[in-house]
Amino acid sequence: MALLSRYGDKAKLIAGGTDLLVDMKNEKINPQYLISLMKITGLSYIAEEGDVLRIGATTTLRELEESQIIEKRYGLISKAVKCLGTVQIRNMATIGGNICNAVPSADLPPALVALNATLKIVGPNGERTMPLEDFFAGVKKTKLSVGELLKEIIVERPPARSGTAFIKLSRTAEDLAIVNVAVRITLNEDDTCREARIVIGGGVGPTLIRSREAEKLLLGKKMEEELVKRAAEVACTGFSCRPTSIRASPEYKAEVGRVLVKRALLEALKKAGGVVEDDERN
Amino acid sequence: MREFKIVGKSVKKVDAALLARGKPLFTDDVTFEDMLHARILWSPHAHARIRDIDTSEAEALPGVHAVLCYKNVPRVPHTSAGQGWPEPSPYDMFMFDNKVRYVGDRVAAVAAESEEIAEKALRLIKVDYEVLPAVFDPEKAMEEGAPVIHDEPDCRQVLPLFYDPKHNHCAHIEVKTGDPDRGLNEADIVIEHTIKNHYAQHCALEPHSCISYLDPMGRIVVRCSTQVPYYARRIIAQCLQLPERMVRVIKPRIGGGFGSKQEIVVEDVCAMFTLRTRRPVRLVFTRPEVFVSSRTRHPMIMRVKTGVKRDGTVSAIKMRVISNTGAYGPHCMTVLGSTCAKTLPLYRCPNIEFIGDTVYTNLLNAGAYRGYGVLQGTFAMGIMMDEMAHAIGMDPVDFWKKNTIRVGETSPIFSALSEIGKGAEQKVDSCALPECIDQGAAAFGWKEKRERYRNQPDGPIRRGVGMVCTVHGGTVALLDASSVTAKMNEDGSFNLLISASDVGGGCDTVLSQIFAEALDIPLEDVIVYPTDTDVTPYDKGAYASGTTYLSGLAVIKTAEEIKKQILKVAAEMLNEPPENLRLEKKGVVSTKSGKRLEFGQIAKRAMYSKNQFQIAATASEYSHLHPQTFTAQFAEVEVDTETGQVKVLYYVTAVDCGTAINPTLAEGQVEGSIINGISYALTEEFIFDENGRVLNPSFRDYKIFSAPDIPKLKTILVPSYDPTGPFGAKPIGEPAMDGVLPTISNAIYNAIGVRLTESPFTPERVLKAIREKRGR
Ligand SMILES: Cc1cc2nc3c(=O)[nH]c(=O)nc-3n(C[C@H](O)[C@H](O)[C@H](O)COP(=O)(O)OP(=O)(O)OC[C@H]3O[C@@H](n4cnc5c(N)ncnc54)[C@H](O)[C@@H]3O)c2cc1C
Repeated sequence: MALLSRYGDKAKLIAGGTDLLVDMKNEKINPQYLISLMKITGLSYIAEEGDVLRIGATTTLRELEESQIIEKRYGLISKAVKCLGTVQIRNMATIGGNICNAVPSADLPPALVALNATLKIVGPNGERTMPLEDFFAGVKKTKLSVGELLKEIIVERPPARSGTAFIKLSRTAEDLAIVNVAVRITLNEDDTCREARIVIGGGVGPTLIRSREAEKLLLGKKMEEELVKRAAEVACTGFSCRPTSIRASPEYKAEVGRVLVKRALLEALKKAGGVVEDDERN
Repeated sequence: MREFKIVGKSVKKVDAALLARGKPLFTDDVTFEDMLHARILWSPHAHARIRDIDTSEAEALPGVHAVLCYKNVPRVPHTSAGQGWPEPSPYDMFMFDNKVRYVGDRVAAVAAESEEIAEKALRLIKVDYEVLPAVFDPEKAMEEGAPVIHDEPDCRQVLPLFYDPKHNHCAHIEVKTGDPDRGLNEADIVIEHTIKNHYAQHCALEPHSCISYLDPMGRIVVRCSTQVPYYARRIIAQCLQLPERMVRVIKPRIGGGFGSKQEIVVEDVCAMFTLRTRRPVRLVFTRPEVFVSSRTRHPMIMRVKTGVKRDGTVSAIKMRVISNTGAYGPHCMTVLGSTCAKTLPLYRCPNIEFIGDTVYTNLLNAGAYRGYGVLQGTFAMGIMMDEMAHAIGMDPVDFWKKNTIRVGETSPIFSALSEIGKGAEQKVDSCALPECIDQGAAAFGWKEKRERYRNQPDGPIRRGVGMVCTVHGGTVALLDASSVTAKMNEDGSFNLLISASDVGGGCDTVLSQIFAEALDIPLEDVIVYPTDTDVTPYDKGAYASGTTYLSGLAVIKTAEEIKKQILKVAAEMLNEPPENLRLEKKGVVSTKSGKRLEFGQIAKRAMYSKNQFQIAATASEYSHLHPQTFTAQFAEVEVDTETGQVKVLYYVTAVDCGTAINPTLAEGQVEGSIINGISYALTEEFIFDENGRVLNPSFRDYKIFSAPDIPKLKTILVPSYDPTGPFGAKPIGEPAMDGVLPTISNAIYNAIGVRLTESPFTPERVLKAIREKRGR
């Protein structure tokens, strides 16, 4: 912390370096000092306490991938992590870096927002918490102030009768997403929708998108395929993709966004124990 | 077929352990104390004249030793294409010119104490550009009034070949056999398609690299990542206006070429700096430079019209091709020529018309790339064959079998055209294509899968299967040549001096195997020394899939010469006529007396005892014809009709490459080709902005397949023996890649009934095609 306040914006924090070093090599940024987080003890952990999971910011993606707790009870994280990069990348990359790098194509943030994650941030004036959903301010921009760093990610365990799904569409296995979608739904006793969280990433806007309007559509209703389709439509109306994206055109992103949201919702519904009528394959 | 001792065995690559241990084998693995670093300034404009260039500030920067631009280098029209001499490519390049013709063209270069200083100096160069209108569409480039990309008076074709730069038109080929119009009239069904392939880069992991320095005698030594060391020497000498004796080219290990290093892309500038500064100079491309400023694949627009009769006979093939060579024309004519000459002999159709044009545009410079026009031609014909089979309701397997050339047959195309002009009479000396089709189809489960997927349940995810056959003629007949030198050592081992250029494919190993087989010695007794133009004799280098075949023939000839000398010495020693003697297990045995001499005894006697001489020989061979390699390829795909995503689930390739000298290495070539091909078919793509700038010159944005993307592959090496090849071998470097685009297109068609005629088959393009088909 002292180093951070001493060097201010001349310094950059480095965790796994899999984003930072690429940016430095491409001369997008040129920090004078790098402050490594990896030697700080007590920043790397996966701890389950009752219905919450605490993940230290420098926990590597490989550690998340191999965690039994996450695999069993936070399958959404597990699924998102497995889609991210290659084993070599996951060995180095950290969860904190994936969040703080703040690119809209990152894979973990949609999954974490779907699980209602909050962040614990430390800085010169002590600690504060913030929902992950509010953390992003734009492409490569977060709401961290100078001198602050991300310490911990806290995730809620999905309640009973919940289902989750994560789908990523990309050009190759190690590419960033064209579109990625994370959803979590929870059903009432009567199979109506009690809660839905629909989060879309993959450069469909300067930050990921959570579609409250689409979620609202589902609330209290039986999730029939027609309704799910409509929710997917709504969820994908507000995209504001860069027109020059290398990976796909804005029109394509919107079109497959609808498909992926629909599929994710149906998959989550199935996992939550709801009946999917008129089920399609996959 | 013959029994072999070392040939046909998958021995380990002779350099495998060294590579695995990270020994300093590559161009950029050495360094010199006083070495300078060169960097190049690239054009930001697609088309512009340089009114003036001011390098004074760059020159004044401390640490800068030289700046090169059009003002201070000789203006030597040449081609960067590493081809025989005189080259069939136009002389339309200059080390530096006062005109730039694509975004990424050379403007100037700096050599400095460090790369950082060189980079800094580049930013100090002031260029005054007169921006000219640019043309990116090859069809528009041919129109009257289009911007003329090569308006310089000194560009020319050295050979008497078509060349009309005033209309951006740099090659034209017309071939006609039989009566194509009558063939079309006689057809029951005529099918027409326009098929387009796209730009792509080779993505060799080692970038284009060069380190040059002066030897004590003042000659320039160039250590470079080249596929064509002798051509490199010739072209460097040409550009520097030196006699060849002043240039020595050393080819160390190469980290992949695939055609991109069959061009002189960095060597001329690097060597020029050494000449100017008298210092060692290093010039190594960055990855973006490899993408933009080395070479790429020719995109072609192919309009094809074919006729088919109800009985399954193809009655006519008409092909009209426009090939985009980009800003310069290395290989522009020969790639186009191969689209006809090396592709169409596959088809047993007497009535063929081929009209091809290659055109300059202000886009990336195309050149040699694995497949070399045959890939493009096969893309078009592979689709047409599938469409014809479909139209008459015949299983593609039967349709291909019926319409492809067989052993002993000839094609009118052979004599009508070779890569560079009139062709050579030849017939097909060996052809196991029918076996390839049968074995491939069986291993793949063709019949069952076709049946199963015909009846698959509705749903957004569809599966399908497709197949294609390919032929690829290796070498450039009558022009390509190879020489090999071997000498015997006291212990009975041999130095094998070759200029065949192992670029990773393994010819050092394969040629050692051939030599060892020919003299019946163990592999470890062959010390192979690849390419140093001061030491190893002339060879064409690594291209046209020709090394195993042609250099292999030269190795056998050399071994025969050596054998004669060994038997002569042995005859003297044993006092028996040479006819009684034969080679056996690194020795000579008399069939009469049963006496045996070891190679070591014979070598020592020749060197030290009597009638002393060095047992050594150099022999050469040139290519008499194009050996024909065949493949049959089968793909199973899954198409997501809602996202357009295509996944290849299984890919089977059955290959007739004659004797596989080293089966593992041959399989490696096949699997490498298939992965190369699938990656090209599904994801690899250059994205340009409206000014012709590449937007994705990095592995981050230009995606190629990596390990997790690779589907299940199966390679079948079908036994066969080519009487013209070394121990029956035929080429294998390129042929398998030719078939991937159409095989996948055919499988997609089988899965969803939508025909993809434009590559790559990205999710977005597939989805668009589905939508167009549904008429939305
Ligand atoms: C080949 C390749 C493939 C990739 N594929 C994917 C993919 O499929 N999906 C995907 O989402 N990402 C992918 N990435 C991106 C990258 O690996 C991830 O974003 C990774 O999680 C970043 O973590 P890191 O520890 O390496 O971050 P770093 O590079 O160390 O840091 C990234 C940024 O976050 C800041 N930072 C890091 N930790 C903290 C902290 N605790 N507090 C405050 N700021 C912090 C750094 O200052 C820096 O600005 C890929 C990268 C590569 C090179």
